[in-house]
Amino acid sequence: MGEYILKTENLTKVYGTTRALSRINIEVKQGEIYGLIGQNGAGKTTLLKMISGLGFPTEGAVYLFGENASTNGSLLERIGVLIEVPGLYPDLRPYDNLKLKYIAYGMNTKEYTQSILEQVGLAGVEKKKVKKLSLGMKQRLGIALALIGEPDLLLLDEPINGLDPQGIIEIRDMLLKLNKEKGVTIIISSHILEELSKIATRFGIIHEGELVEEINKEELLEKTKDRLEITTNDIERAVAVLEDNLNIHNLQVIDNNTIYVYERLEESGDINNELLKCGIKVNSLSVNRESLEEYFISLTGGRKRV
Amino acid sequence: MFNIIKMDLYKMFKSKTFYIMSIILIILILSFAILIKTTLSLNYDMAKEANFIYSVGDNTLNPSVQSPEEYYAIQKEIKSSVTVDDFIMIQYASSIMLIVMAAFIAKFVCSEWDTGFVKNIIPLNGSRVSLVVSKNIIVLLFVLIEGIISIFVAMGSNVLVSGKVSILDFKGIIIYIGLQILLQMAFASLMILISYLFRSKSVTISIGILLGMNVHAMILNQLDKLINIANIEISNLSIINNIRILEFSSEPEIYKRVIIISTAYFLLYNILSLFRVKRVEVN
Repeated sequence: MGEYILKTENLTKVYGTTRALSRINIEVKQGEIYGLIGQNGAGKTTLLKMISGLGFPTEGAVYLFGENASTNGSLLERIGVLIEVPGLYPDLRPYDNLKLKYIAYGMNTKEYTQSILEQVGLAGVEKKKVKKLSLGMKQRLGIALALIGEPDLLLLDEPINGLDPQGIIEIRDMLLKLNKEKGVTIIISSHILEELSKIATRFGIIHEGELVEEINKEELLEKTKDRLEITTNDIERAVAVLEDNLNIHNLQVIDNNTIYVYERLEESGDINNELLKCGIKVNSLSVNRESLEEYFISLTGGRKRV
Repeated sequence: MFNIIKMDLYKMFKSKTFYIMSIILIILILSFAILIKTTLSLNYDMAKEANFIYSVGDNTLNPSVQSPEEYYAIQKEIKSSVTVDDFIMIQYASSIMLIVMAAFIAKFVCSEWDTGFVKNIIPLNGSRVSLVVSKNIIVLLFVLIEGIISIFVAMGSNVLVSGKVSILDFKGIIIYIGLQILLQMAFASLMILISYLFRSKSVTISIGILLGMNVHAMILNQLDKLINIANIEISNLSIINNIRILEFSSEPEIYKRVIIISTAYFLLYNILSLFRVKRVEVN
């Protein structure tokens, strides 16, 4: 178990008659950025709460740093959390909010407070009251709070909610820097799957309280491989030409107008020429990659909001 | 635990709630002095019409006072006989201090949960127990500050009404305030429990006001009529009733009862708070 910073064992949470989590077994290695994917209500937040000690599992166990977290409460001190909304006092300044957590953690470094505010791009607004900050600034402050105590494991639930594109890039860079330079392991959930795919090294897909798949980035890249997307109005003839004339069999008909071809991608020009020669009008032809969102939808079935 | 207490102290002195509640308390308890001064200065005819003519020593209506001169002489005597002791007793028995404290607790405890700040603290080892202990220490500090405010406002009130500071029984004041602090802490522990149960400022304040105003006394009095066990009056077990009936020269039995009741309630409510906080899930 030593190599894993986090391991859950049959983690189950039942609220009344609702099974929010069902026998979840996830494993997160030290230094990983673990992306948690799931629709709203899939159980991502519940799982993060169980891990961080904010909630109690009905069954199962959480192992942190190789030890059972329920028998050693001090393990949770090595976790930084930002779950749902950033927990901030609106009538206090960002500096005071940070200082409260510093005091609770037995730290008192004014310079460090300043550096952490700079780290999340909040330098200069430390004297404003939190209630006067924008949603994005509050989110950054929430991340700053999570970083206090220099955690080994950071649990971030939708951390880029409300951030503008520039803010998203800054937070992404900051998390990557933390991960690379300080070796902080990060578990991050986000409904912006493409953003998640840019930073996560491993993914856990949760659907209706169950872990559908755990997959690392390399495996995901293999599964979401490049393809040639052809759109045409004459789909049946196009398939026949591809199979009979070009000997292409690794293809998939997506709808009445779209075909995905998974082989001979480098010969897209020849494919186009052959289709045109046979009198098939090609509306578009491009090499694309299946997105993480599409992969997620194919796994969980249905184009639902994530 | 010490760090959580330090954190709560920092929050208490950084947030406006503490200062606003203290100012509200000063205004409210100072209003007693203004009311008494106004009542004692009433015009003779108006006073007679409103049945405000009182004899010296007690507050019974005295129809024997006939002339304005006699009335004003009595008024002057009453004014000069008012002491700091009287004001302190009025302040505590009026429940205003309880209600202000309930509002402070509701804001202080519930804001930790409704802002979600508690999520930053819960991962700390032993934080759930520390949070309850820390709240008691903060409230004790608030009650002590209330006590000091009460003494100073009582002195100011005394000057306002009779133009001097007159303390009848200094030792009595200390004992009285000490016992009131015990009762206030018992009430505070109940308010902390209610805050943790509902985690809602409005619910906690509403319950605090109703309890502070002794609304439950009607039920207790009815229970006293229905149940008669070994001459024990249930209403005597109420924190609020004890706050109201406590006097400077109460019987030693009453002092003893106050100490036992306040300690028992304090322990009971804090144990229940600990159970609640240890089991509660943070949303």
